Amino acid sequence: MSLDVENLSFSYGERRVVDQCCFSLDKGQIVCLLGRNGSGKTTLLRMINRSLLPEEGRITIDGTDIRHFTRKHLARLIAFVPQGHNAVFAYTARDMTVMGRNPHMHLFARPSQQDYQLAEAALRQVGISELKDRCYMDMSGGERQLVFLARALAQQASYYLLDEPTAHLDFYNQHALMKTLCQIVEQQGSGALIALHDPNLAFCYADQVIMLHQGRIVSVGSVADTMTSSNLSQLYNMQLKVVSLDGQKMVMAK
Amino acid sequence: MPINSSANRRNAIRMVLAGLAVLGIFCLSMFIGRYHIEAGRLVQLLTTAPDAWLDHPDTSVFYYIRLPRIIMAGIVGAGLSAAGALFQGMFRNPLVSPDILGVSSGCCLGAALGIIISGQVGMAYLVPLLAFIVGIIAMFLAYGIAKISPGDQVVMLILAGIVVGGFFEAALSFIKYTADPYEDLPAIVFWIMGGFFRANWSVVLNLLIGVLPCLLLLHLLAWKINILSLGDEEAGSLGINVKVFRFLLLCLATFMVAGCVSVSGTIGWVGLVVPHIARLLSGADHRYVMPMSMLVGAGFVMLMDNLARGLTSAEIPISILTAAVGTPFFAYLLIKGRGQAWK
Repeated sequence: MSLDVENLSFSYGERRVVDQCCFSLDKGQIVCLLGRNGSGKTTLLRMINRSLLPEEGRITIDGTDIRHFTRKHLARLIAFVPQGHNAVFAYTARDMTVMGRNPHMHLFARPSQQDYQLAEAALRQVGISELKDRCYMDMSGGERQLVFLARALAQQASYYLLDEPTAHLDFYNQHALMKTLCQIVEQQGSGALIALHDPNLAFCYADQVIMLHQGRIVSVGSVADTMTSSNLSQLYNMQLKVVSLDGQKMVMAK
Repeated sequence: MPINSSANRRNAIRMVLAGLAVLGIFCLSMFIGRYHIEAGRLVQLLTTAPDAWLDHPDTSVFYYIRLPRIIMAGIVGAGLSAAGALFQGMFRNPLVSPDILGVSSGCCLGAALGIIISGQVGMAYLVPLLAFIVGIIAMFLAYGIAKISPGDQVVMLILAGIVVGGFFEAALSFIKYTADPYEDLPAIVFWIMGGFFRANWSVVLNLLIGVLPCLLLLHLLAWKINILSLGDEEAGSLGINVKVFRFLLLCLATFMVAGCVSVSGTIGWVGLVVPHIARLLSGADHRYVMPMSMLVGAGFVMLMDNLARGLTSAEIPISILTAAVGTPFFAYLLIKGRGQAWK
């Protein structure tokens, strides 16, 4: 039971942004994608979500190429939490979240009472049920991000793709979000692939780490194997040191 | 539909009020026109069999001219407004109207062609028929151009629509320029200004058959329009096949708009302004915006048509009225609380 990425490549014009990437995402695991800006993290996630078609290579879920799924079927397998959103209409957080139920509904259906209950449960799980009647557009960037996560939860997919979900969150919410995600992965047995900017979050929550540099995977494996001082220094092109404090590893700039 | 929040209850009440208002306007419309009919006489007639109406000149005016005209105005208003609400939602843009894909320009060109040809060979039915066909062709042209252009499909569609509309307008100008200035040209100009004076029961029947199912489908799909309004990528990851779905909705709306315009001529501003009024009344959720647009649109156009036939002894083309009332109202919305449903 896994999502496999095989030899994936993509170019914007002449520029290769993802080059021959191979890895797999197992269920029950949190895999963190680390890399600098422009290293191809978002492009990779968008290809897995089938928003972009790969130039070479393929993505399979349990052996089936994702191109063979209907969009609706794929949405039951993969839930995507985008980086940001240019909202146009003033939907409430609750209405936004219930849209995650769409892949489970037929063409003319509208969300039922049960769908709303699931949406509210998802909002509770990410800790923002008091915001449910607030207009999504009046929210801060961080609150919006949590609404997206709630929507992905309501989608009840097998795999979660998150594109820098902690980007707009405060310190508390960064850890709260990652903890919620750990819970979900554990409870539902789903897999999560998360693009992150903060390697320290990967130290705390990742099962696996993928390091991406100029579109190529430079290191992949467990936290202990990949998150070394030399690997991280190379990845971010600066002097970094991994230290251990009370048994918790963390990375700091020299 | 959820009934547990106060917003939904408020929307339901507003919807009922809007429905009652439309009914009120409908009843009022029956008394407006050159031919005066007493209320008592109307009630007396309505309670007798329709066969008996035809013997009296006053009632045959009512039955054969006024009643179909009111219904036609209502359907066309609802159709244009629902299409406007759909386009604004789907294109995530408050400035688009059902004309955006060149459908109206296509209809005008078709009608002008029809007027020229039927002037030569008769067959007056060619005018709405050609208007309808060329209107649909315009949309497919715009869609085709957008399809083969790289880049954001929504932006490309809007640009392609402007291109097609512009080209068709040039063709229309050419036809006007070469048309017979005594017969055809006034007919073309008058057709384009629009109105419901061509109403009769067969037009109403055609409209009902063509437009009502589209309205019903749009209402049923309104929740999906919410998802589409998040943008292509998000709608896709929420399980909507955006390309197919958008194409089907465009076809539906174009069919409806071309159907309306081909019998009434262009009626400006309705498809742009009415969805904004509907959003002001019912918020952003298309489950409410859609039916509210239909109601407000029907009421608004019936009211404008009352002015068209009641203000002066000669009929005023309805586009003049919808623009004269619609534009200041739109300006008012821009200045006042427009920002409630849009960013």
